[in-house]
Amino acid sequence: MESTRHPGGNYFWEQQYNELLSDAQAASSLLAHQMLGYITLPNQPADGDTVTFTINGTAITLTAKTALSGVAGQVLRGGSAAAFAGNLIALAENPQFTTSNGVALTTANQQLLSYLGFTLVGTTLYIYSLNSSIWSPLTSFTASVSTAGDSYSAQTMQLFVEPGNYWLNGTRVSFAGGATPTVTAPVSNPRIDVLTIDSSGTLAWTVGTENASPSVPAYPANKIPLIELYNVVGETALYDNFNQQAGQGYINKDIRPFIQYPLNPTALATNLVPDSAGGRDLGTSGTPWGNVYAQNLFQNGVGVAAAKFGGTGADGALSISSGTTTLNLSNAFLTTKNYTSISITGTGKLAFSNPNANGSIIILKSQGNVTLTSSSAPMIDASAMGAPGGASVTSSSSRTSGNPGTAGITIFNKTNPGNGGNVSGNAGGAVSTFTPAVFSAIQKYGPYLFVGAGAGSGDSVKNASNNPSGVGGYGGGCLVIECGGSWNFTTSGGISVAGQNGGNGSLGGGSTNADAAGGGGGGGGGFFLGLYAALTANTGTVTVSGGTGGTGTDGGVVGENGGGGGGSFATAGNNGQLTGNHGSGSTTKDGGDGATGISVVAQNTEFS
Amino acid sequence: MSENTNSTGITGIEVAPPIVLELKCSCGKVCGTLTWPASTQVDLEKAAAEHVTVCDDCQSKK
Repeated sequence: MESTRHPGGNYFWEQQYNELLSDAQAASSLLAHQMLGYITLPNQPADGDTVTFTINGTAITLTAKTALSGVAGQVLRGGSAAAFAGNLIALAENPQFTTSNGVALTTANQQLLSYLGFTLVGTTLYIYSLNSSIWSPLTSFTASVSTAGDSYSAQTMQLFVEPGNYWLNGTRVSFAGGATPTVTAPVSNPRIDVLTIDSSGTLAWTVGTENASPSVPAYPANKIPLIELYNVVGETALYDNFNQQAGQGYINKDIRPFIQYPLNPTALATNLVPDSAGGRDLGTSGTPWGNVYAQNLFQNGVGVAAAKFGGTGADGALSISSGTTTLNLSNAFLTTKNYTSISITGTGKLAFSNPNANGSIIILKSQGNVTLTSSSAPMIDASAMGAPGGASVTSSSSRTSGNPGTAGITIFNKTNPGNGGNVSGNAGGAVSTFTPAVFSAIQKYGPYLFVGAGAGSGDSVKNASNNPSGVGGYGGGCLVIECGGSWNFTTSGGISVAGQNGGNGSLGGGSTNADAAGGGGGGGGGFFLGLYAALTANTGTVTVSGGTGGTGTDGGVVGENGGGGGGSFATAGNNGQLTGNHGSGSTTKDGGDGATGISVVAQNTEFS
Repeated sequence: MSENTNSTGITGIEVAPPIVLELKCSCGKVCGTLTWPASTQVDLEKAAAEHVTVCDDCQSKK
């Protein structure tokens, strides 16, 4: 390894060398640096064979010996080539100590050897300079070996990479250290190359493009980048960053990656894949993960309906602090909005428009908190979003019956009865409607989803004028709020699913005693369901009342029929009234009131 | 997101602002918002068409 630099001529106590060794080991993993050359020692030397380092012109000879006799520079030849190589680097790195494997060098030679660093990989000894820009005692170096088959090779256009361990794409690699491929000097302009190591422990250069102001080439995928090397035209050697030389290449950046704690690959640009199908778990039964956020989940290739309660958040965070924001239902049977949170405060109000012809079910999902503290009452107004009431009638001759209201939708659509035989027809029961596409979205709430039914309109009696009857009121809508966070509802009458009031009958111009017009019934109250995960406050109230029946009027001879009130779930609407003569031009309430709806606010303990 | 360098020379990550749709009355008053995280793909035109807003002042004049 390339150990800590220290001033020439200074020596450290033995225990300090241990400290330096530890520090250098920690920092040197996969460290790339300059080298002078390497000695290959594949053969065990004979007694008396030598390895010579010539440093600044001084030859330092290390002699292989079968037995040491106390002569400076002797190295035990050992029982193999590897044993000798180990004894050789031990003495080269610690020339001040005599051990059972080597004899200490002279003080002068110890200092010369301190200018060099060594790393042994197998039986190859890599040698490098410890010069820096502030301390450069080494001026020249060469080496030689006398053992047949062993040799020294000067090599300054390669770098040496220290040993290290790393993980790459699930593979643990223990890199023993080694030299890079040889670098080729650029021809016309400078160039930046990137050194990488792959999952096989192979070092490789990603060669950049020559340019007067060269750019760093893109780092190749699935490899660990180690350094950026700045090359210049005519270079014959590569140097460390802290020892740059004029006209020579040098290590520009050490780019060995480190990963932050905790691991947070926010810009992960590839798939996260286990090493075998079904062989790895995400968490355990005892230590599960907290929240998992994903757009889609699949189990054995089949999509899993997950995170339904509180919805997806796709419609953003809704915040209304003033005014009225009207959500267009577009005549849909079911409208679902997926908010991340809902906040209606100040004087804000959320209303709805364009309900379905049989009333609309509205589901507002919130992944987070639902805050309903606006002073507007109601701040969420789903009144009259149920089934339409019967249209007003205007008789053209004698008495014309009012129109019935429209049946409201429920999760279980009722089957329709056949009509009795009469002069107006004897039709069989109409086909029920069923909408499979929305059934799965609402069936989890059970059989309680319904909208208020529409009320009937009053009748009209014509003698001399056209007398429009009162229109039947719309039923109240069906509103469900899923609160995945904390529920905070504090306004009295803050939510309404009330039925609409019936219209009033009126006499036309020129009416006489026998003219009359009944009032419309009030629409049935609708349904509200609020489910929350946590509770802050629930002191607000929900208006579920049916609409009030309208008034009829007559000319003083005949009475009129008011429309019936719309029904609700488990509650019938009130009957319209057949009035007698109640005085010329007088009005009386004859439309039936709508039935009262239902409201439930509770903690969600069932839906996930 | 983009990489930037702060005054101390430390490279960091600049976080993009969230996507905000103002719930605005035709008179210009902003009465509320719909907000999404920066990286969300949002059909703002559709969301705006679905959420029509009238401010309290304009509502009282109707």
